[in-house]
Amino acid sequence: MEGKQEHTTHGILSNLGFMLREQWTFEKKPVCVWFLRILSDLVVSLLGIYFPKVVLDFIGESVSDSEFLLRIGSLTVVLMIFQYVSFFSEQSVMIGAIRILNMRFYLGKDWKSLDMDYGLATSKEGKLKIEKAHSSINRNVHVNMASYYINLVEFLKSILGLISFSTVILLLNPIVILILLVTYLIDGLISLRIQQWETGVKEERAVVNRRLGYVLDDISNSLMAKDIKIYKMMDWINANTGKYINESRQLEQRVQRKYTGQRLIEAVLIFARNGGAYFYLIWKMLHSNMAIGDFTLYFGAITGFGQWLGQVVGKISSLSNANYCVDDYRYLMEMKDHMKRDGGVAIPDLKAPCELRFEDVSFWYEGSGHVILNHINLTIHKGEKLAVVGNNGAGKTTLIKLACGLLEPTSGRILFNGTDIRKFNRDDYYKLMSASFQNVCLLPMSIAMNIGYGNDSGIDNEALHHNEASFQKKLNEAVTLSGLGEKIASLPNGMDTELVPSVVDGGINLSGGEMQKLMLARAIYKEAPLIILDEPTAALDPIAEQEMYLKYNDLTKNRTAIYISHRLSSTRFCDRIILLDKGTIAEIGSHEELMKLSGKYKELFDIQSQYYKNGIEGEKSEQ
Amino acid sequence: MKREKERKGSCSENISLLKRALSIISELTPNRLKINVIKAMIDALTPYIAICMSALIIDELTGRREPSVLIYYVLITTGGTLFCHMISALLQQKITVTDGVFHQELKKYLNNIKLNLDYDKMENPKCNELHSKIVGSMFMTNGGITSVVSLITSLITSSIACITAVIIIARVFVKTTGEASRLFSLGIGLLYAVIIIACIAVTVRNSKKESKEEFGLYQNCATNRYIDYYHFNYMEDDKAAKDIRIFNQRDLIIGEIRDKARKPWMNILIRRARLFQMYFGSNAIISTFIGGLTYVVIGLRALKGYISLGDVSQSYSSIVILISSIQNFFVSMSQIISNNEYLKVLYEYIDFAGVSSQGNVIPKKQNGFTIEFHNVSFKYPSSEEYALKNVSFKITSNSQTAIVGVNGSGKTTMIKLLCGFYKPQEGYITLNGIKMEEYDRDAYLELFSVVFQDFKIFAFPVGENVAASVQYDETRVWQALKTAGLEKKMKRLPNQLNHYLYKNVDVEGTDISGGEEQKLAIARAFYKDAPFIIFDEPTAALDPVAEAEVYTKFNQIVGDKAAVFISHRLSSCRFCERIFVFDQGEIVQRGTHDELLKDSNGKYFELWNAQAQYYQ
Repeated sequence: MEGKQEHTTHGILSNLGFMLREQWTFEKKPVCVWFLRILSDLVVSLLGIYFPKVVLDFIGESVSDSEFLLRIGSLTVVLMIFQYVSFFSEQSVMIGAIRILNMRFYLGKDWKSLDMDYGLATSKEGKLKIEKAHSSINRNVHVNMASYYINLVEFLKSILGLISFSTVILLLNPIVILILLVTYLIDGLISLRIQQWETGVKEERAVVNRRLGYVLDDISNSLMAKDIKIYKMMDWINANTGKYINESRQLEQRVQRKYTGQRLIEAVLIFARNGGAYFYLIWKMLHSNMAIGDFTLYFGAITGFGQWLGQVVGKISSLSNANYCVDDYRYLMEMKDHMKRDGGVAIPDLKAPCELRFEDVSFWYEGSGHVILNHINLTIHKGEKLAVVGNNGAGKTTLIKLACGLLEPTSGRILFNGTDIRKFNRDDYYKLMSASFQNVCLLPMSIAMNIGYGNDSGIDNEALHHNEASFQKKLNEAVTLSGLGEKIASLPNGMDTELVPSVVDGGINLSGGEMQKLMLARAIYKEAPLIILDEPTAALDPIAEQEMYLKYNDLTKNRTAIYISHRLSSTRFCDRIILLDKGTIAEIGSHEELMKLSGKYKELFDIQSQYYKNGIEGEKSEQ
Repeated sequence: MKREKERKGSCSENISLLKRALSIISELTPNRLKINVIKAMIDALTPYIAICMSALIIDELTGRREPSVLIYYVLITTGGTLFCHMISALLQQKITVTDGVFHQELKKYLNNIKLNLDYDKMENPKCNELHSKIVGSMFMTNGGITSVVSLITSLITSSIACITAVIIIARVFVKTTGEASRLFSLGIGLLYAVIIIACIAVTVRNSKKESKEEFGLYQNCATNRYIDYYHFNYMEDDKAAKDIRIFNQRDLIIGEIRDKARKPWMNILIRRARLFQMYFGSNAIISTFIGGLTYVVIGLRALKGYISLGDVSQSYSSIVILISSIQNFFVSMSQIISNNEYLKVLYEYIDFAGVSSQGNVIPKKQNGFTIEFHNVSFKYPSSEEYALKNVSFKITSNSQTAIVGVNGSGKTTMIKLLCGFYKPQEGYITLNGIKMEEYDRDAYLELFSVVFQDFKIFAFPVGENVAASVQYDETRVWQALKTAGLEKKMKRLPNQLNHYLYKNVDVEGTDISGGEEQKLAIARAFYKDAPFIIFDEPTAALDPVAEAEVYTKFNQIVGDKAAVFISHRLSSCRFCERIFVFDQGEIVQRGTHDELLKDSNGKYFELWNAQAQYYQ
């Protein structure tokens, strides 16, 4: 444990304090159960070695039948009671751990990963911490973070057990304890060596496990049956899987060979210890008047001593594993958000359009030399409809993440109605934003919840559940504008139809286009001064796309709007267009202005329009 | 023991279930059972060395006290134990390694089943349900095929321990020196045996009840779906991270996870622990009682001098092992029986997943292929409405067909039928005049190169991804990459074709953008070089420049193949010789671009103008 301590930064005592505080504030009852468990199990094990001694002594002393019956009978009853309490409390300790794991640690971790700054959560460091915290509470309570409590109880118990058995042996001969400790020390040193060696292969094992995880878990979780069939990919995947399984087997063999060595040495040590104990006790019997009952008692104590010591060592290593889990959990929980979480200036009116200004904004990811946005200066006026175009990788998505307050500029600042957005409370600022992003993500709930949930006031959600008329009306407006109205009208349960059939029984599947319309409806439903639409028509067919264009003014009414697309047709109904190229604003102006420039925009437009243009001309010439 | 025979007799079904499991296990990891069984036998017998020998030592100590005999006894005890421990350690090494491999091989085996499922079965909710049940029971509660070997092993360990214990105890009871009380001691022995059997019966009943109720708890695995969905889908990476924040979904999601995922699961675990407390707790009391009773019965006999002290300690230790191993025996028995329920689910899945009947005609290599739809109608199993209605058309080699239409008009469904993923309810599809069902499935699929909307790129090397195979022809891979417009990018990678994609497998791997992924999928289709090449919306993720590149290349790509092209972007279709316009599951128009545009009331005209007006 000493060796491992240097890897942890919280320190053992700090983690102990943390875990006790967590338990104490969560539930107090389990703490009493812990003491019950320790006490009862101690009594059981002491009676365990004492019982045979008593029996043998009584027989040796030739007590009367009735006395024998009475004594042994009452001893049995006592043992029965403690045995039951011990078993019962062991399970109760586990129940306590299950409760705190599920209701506090698990939810705590999930909450943190949902609540932390977007930039942190999606950074390499943040992802790693979330992943580590997840694996620290994953699996069962015997190995994860909550095993801390179980192991702590068992550790204290075995320490007390060790002390009480030592006391018994001390009565026999203190030197015996010394000899015992030496043999266990040898054992301990060897296993420490092996553990150290194993930390050396930890990296290697992580690599092997990651690969196996990919081929065994990730691949099977994603549905791509069609590809697999058409391209007969199973042979290919299996060939790679086989390769990684083999790598893992070889590694495991190397590790296990070491452990076998340890087990063999352990067997020899047991041989020496038990042999020694027998010879010493036999010698004692032959040369003093030690009773046969004491012979079994001491022999039991000597082997029991080893068991306790083994338990202590085992629990220390389990505790130190749990301690790592606690560390990983705390690393995540202690991550500090960069954005303003407390206080903040009051946010402007949600119903009035806003002005958004970028002042010399640059952005790059920490530790990456690649500048994604380079000195952007841009003012989006009140009520303006701005289109952002550019090729993949031009920085469009980053620009909107900055505008949304999801990411912070590396340099420069962003002003919302003249106020630096860093002055707003982070969560308040989100109330000013509505957006539909490229990723489609559905909640396994009703359509109404998918669209309506997440607006600033909690009343909305209540209303959703109660089907209040005004909210129904608002919902209907949103779906009509987004073009999903017909689909919903065709569903027997309408707005209450649940989505994600793989999770919800009776849920329905939406097509790609319908999902995109749903995301759009959600963005429309939320009344926010700024609405951002990122490629909202990528999955729509031409008719639906055109319908959306025609309704664009309605759905951005009273709002400032940013529309992102790499399809230039969409920019025609916007007031102004910016063309992003390699992180800078290459061109800015209306469609006509940009066409006149004969620059990059015109070039892009010509590429896209050539087929359509030719077509129209062709049609005309035929006429 | 009689009981056991009855159970086994009535459970020939159980045995055949186990046999099947064992054959799967030995297929995945040969020898695994054998090694486990040998180790189990050694482990079961090891403690008896000390038990029997220490009895001899105690008797010698309370008797003749001959030092040389004592030394001899001690050496046998410790030496014998040492020997057993060493063999056990060596076997353990092998077992740990094979167990690890078994878990991985099993996952691989299940994945193969899942990914080889017929397409229509894959969409069948029953299949998902079975799969999640299997995986749920396997990796959450360690039930199913994963625990078969350990259950059989513990059955063997406990039966050997039992038999040995019974032999030792019976020997002690038979050993009676006082002739006078023979009848009396026989009576006591019988009474004792009856009480023990009754106690054991109760504990066995408890264990059986427990495992039955425990199995009942896990029956409802639906809660896992929420855990899976939120953790591996919704909250994974950047999937919904933006939406969660902008739409303030934190509370909602935490509430969902708490109420629909964690709480039900937690309650199962807690109820399980409560079952343990109730049933195994009373078992613990009973076994302590048996221990006490044994001491009393044997002690009283020893007090009368019928048996020696060594016998007392020996039979007490044996009784302790007997009780726990009889319990273990029946626990393992009932666990095997309840575990067989999980096995049944697994077999149901395996059998369900078996490839359905298929023909054996191999498509002939010939100059031209023709696929024809004859009045095909189709609706999805879960839907009332027809996705395709009375569709007839012909696709031949050396032709290009574009398919256009709004979302949900049946375009992708048609492709799925073309590839044989679904069978039409009405009408039929022929290849070169022979019905599709009569062809060998794999040989039929050989004819298609398809780029689907939801293609998948793996975290394996670039070259393997293009070829979908470990072995590949480098020059052809480069050729395919060149046609797809990825050659330059891949040439820049340090290991070129051997360079890994993404970071899942190799941390040095390279991440590629959505557009590049799509190009890679296109390259894969080129590499396969099949007679039918089908693109389903291949340019959705491409930017306009890349999109234009793909369009211009499409003609030179297809050569003498049959090309089918689905797109929302009508501009991309206008070079095709034929355009089919789908609307609500029917082909409403067909013809060339120019022909179709003439009909200003037609669907095509409407679609075209919706887009073209912005480019005028």
